Amino acid sequence: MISLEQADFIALIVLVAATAPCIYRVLYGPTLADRIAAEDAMGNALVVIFALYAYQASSIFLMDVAMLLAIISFVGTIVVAKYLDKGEVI
Amino acid sequence: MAGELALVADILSIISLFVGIFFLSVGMIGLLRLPDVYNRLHATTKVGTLGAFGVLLSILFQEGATPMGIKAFTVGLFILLTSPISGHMIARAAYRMGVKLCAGTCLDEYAGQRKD
Repeated sequence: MISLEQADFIALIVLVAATAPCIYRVLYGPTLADRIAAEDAMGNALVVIFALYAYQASSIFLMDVAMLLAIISFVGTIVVAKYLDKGEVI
Repeated sequence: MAGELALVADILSIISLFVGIFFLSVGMIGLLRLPDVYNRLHATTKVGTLGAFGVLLSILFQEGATPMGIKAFTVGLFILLTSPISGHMIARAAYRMGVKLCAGTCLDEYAGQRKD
């Protein structure tokens, strides 16, 4: 039976491995929308990686980094999608 | 009594962690394998809602109502609210850019419905 700390460590390994398909899709995606979708998913995975590592290291400042990365990733995705939609941002 | 509550919190934490990791893995496999932008978006919006929120909810269950647990829950709630919005924006931008549907598509209800 594994403990909670080992479960968190395994989850961290799975999360780091899960960013590899995003990097492949960003590099070789057929269209531009594929690349934006992969970037959005990778941003979400990176937020979860930061939050899990902040919990493991019991550092509350890394959780602030996760929150800031979530906000920046959402704003960046919306800006690029609006630019592709209308040709202007605002 | 306190020991039983800690055991219940541990079990809930393990369950939500497994649900989150399962949906994250399934979303990434779908991003790699599915044939189309819209199919891939169908897979990757689950990464934001159920995957990230499940893992961050498990941190809340392990920590309790400490500042770190509340902050993790806030991050998870933000991702839960904003990930469907970004998926919708990407799909609309892709359709208006003229990205083709994949060959197995049998119904396109949005074709001919555009007003602008």
